[in-house]
Amino acid sequence: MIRVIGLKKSFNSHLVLNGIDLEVEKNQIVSIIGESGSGKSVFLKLIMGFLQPDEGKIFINGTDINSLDERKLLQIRKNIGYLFQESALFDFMTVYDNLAFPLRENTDLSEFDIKKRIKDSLSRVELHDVENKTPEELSGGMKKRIGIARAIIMEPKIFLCDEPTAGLDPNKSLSIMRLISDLARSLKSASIIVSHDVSNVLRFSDIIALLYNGKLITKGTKEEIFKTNQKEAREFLMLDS
Amino acid sequence: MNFIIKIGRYFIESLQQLGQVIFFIAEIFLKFIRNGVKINEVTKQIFAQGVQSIGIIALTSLATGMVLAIQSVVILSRFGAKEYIAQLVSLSLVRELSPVLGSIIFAGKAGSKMAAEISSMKVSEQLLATRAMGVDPEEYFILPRIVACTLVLPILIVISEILGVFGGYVIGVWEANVPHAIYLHKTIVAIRLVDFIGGLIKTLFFALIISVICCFEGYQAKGGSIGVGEYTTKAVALCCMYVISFNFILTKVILTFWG
Repeated sequence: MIRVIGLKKSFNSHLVLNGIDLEVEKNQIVSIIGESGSGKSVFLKLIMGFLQPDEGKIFINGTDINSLDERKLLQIRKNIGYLFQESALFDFMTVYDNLAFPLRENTDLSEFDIKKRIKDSLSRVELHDVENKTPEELSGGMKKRIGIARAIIMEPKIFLCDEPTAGLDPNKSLSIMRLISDLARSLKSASIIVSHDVSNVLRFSDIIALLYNGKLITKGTKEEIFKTNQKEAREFLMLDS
Repeated sequence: MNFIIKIGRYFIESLQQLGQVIFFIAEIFLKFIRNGVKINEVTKQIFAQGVQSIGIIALTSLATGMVLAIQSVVILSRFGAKEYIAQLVSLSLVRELSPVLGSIIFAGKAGSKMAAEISSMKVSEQLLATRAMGVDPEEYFILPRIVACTLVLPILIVISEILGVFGGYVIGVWEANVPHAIYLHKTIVAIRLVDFIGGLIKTLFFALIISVICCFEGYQAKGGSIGVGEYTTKAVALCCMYVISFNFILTKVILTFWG
């Protein structure tokens, strides 16, 4: 569903991504780990078409998204759920309106059906009676859950999460990662999670890749990752300590 | 040498920004032609911008009309011509003061809100989130604000002109003792259609200038909460500068072709 070939991206002559190759299939969770500032979020923004790569191709369901104009990209994005690092909820809308926004703009659902869908989405992220609250009335963990609810409300076939556990305590991080994993499995979506939360990523991902110096230096299942001989990967994962 | 390099760099940056503004306007205009505008959002913005600004514009217009009349009484009484207060006040307000002052106050109130909202949405990735959900933020957030502004500001300026003239009337009749029938008659005779329409044409341009500048600066914002403040301040300062500069150009054009 997602295929990335030879992706390169630089900012002001600083090479951030230097030839990334990655494939993510339906019902698969791929996590990209790496240090802060290693280009993980840039990678997701390239997949969303928010940024143009310097070189390389990105295919989503067989379509080369770099050849599309913004109007066509908007159509593609309707089938992608994207969880922002800071949730990026509309702070001037209630939780209900935040969740209703993509449905009202992208579907012909009646207000009755929208209400039903919102209730269902909120129960999937284990939140109740928050519809009339504004984002500023919510805790960090709740905002994250609303962000997840908004990302999955269109039942996307592709689910991208940018640092889903950033700023959360270990217990909340675990529950958010479990929630993302459960939802990704139930939607059978092709999911990419970028994170530096190694322990949770190892627990919930099918494939883990380490981004280092602009390259995915190691990639594989949890077991394969543990057996890697890559010095940088072993250091990052603290396998020798 | 350094000084010349700095001037050159400033000149190139200014040209770049002008290019970006032109591209921004062209893009917005094309989207308006192609997809129209979201009526619901325009209605919300008309209400927000209009309700927010009407009080302050009304108060300043009334005060401006009164001050203008008080000053005119002092000068014109020396020449025994205080009956001309009506013409002086009404023409000054309709031709120049209401469109320019009203627009500047609108820029400070509704324009700053517009710039702050857009820039805050930009730095907190809400605009990016809109795109992520398959919705064009320019069509959803920018275009309705520009359309609402071009509809609301002329209405506010007409209200401003009426209140300013009323302020002048209060001073003219009660302080300068000009008979109220004479004051009203002279006001009505003084304001020609060309004065009124000329003022409205200017206001339409100012509305476009204010909304485009505020939305554009908001859209360019970066650098967190400090960036929001910087870009909002810059937007309002630019609005004031361009409103005053374009007022000269538009006045010259209107008077040349229609004066």
